[in-house]
Amino acid sequence: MNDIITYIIFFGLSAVAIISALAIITRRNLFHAAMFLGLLMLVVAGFYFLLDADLVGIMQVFVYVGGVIVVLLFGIMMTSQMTNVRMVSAIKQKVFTILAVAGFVALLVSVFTKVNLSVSNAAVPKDTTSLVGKLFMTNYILPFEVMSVLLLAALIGAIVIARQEVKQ
Amino acid sequence: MLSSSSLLQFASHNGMPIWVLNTSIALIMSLVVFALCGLGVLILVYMERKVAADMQLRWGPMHVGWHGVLQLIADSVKLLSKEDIFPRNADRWIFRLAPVLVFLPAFIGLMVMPIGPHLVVQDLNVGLLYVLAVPAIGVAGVIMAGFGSYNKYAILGSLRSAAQMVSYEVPRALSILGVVMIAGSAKLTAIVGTQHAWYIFLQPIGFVVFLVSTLAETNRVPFDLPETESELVNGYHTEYSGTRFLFFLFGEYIALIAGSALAVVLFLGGWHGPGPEFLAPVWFLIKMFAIIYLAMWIRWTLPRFRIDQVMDLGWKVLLPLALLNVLITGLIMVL
Repeated sequence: MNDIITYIIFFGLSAVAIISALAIITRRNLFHAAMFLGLLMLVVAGFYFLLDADLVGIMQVFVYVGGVIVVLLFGIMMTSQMTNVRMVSAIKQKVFTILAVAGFVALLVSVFTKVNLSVSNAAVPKDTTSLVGKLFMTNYILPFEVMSVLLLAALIGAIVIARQEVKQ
Repeated sequence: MLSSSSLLQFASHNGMPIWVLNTSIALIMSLVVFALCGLGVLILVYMERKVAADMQLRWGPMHVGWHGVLQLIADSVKLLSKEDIFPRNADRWIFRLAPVLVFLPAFIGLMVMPIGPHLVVQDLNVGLLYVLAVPAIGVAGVIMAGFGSYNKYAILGSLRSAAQMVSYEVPRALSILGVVMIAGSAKLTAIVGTQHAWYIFLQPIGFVVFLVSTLAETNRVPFDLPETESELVNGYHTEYSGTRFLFFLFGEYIALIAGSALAVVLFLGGWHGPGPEFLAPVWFLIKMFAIIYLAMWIRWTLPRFRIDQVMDLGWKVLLPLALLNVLITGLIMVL
């Protein structure tokens, strides 16, 4: 019984994900596209919750929906056409776009047909949060620290760019 | 979850699967929380007006009902029956969706709040992250309200609001880190369960940073820059009226309730208090209303910051303080 419900939720989420992903690229209004991107991020968080990965799911909501989307909307509002609600994105260079998309799809298909997806037989861990924390501080300390240094560099870089004062 | 042994027995006796039981309990509980929220917002608005009146040596609402207790019912009926005004150039969908997106995350965020030893709708392992992450979606609603209204005051208000909420998210999350380090869990019931000495005594800096950034997050004076009536008319809900405005009001007060409840859970010992166990929710509510009263007291006694002062306070004072708090907590725990 539980399996059927999981399937129903999975296919429901997938349908919303595909529809919103299509809407992102077909909407001409940038703001609407960003809203659909937010919906897509929420749906991806839903997938994580379905897989019992609660920490990753909540981080998806925290970072992508609460952070990235908000900053994205912020950026759209800050652009020069702020007063004009009807902002439009247009596709120029149609041939190259189609070529790039076709190449990307071919790459994805080749990856999916060649890679053998292995499934672990181990039981699903109950409390992922403390487990992830411990692994970050023991086995994966180097990547963790490298990432934090990278983020620090990005932070300082942002401040340096924002600080540039206009010379009279 | 509330599935106690007697309920489980009842379910197995009648051939009801566990997930039906769990889902129905969750649905009923969320409806109860919704009803309580409505009641809570009514009480809070009445309380706000009475506290404001008290601070300014006035009476406040007095005419409808005994000491004006029915004033809020009258106000809600008025708001609900108002004409639905829609600006001509507004973005139809975004304008309509914004109030819902402000209200809904704030309400869903309440779902993990433990008001008693077993009184919690959904006790998540990542409860603490949940209460931080889900209400943050409301910022998108605020931006949508500003953008969809096609109004310069609304856009300015929502820009300020978004900047303020995103900035204060950082010190707020960091101030909680000390509590998580001591409690050793991000589960809200576990944090309350280990809290025999209130964490406000162990984490005084964390509490102050948390309280100030919660005030900023809920857009209350002295941080109500998004709706400064003297410069921006009414900020991002300038164009809204009637039922949609009611949704914004709901969202704001529920955010205040959630913020105070979280302060109680993290720093004031949650449901702990003298007396038998059934008094636990009462203690919780007493503490929560004390924090809410504090927020109202601050609102009606302090003047408003300027926007650059708000940003300075967030990034240059609260953030270093929160980091210092984490450092001190870590050092004390290691030594």
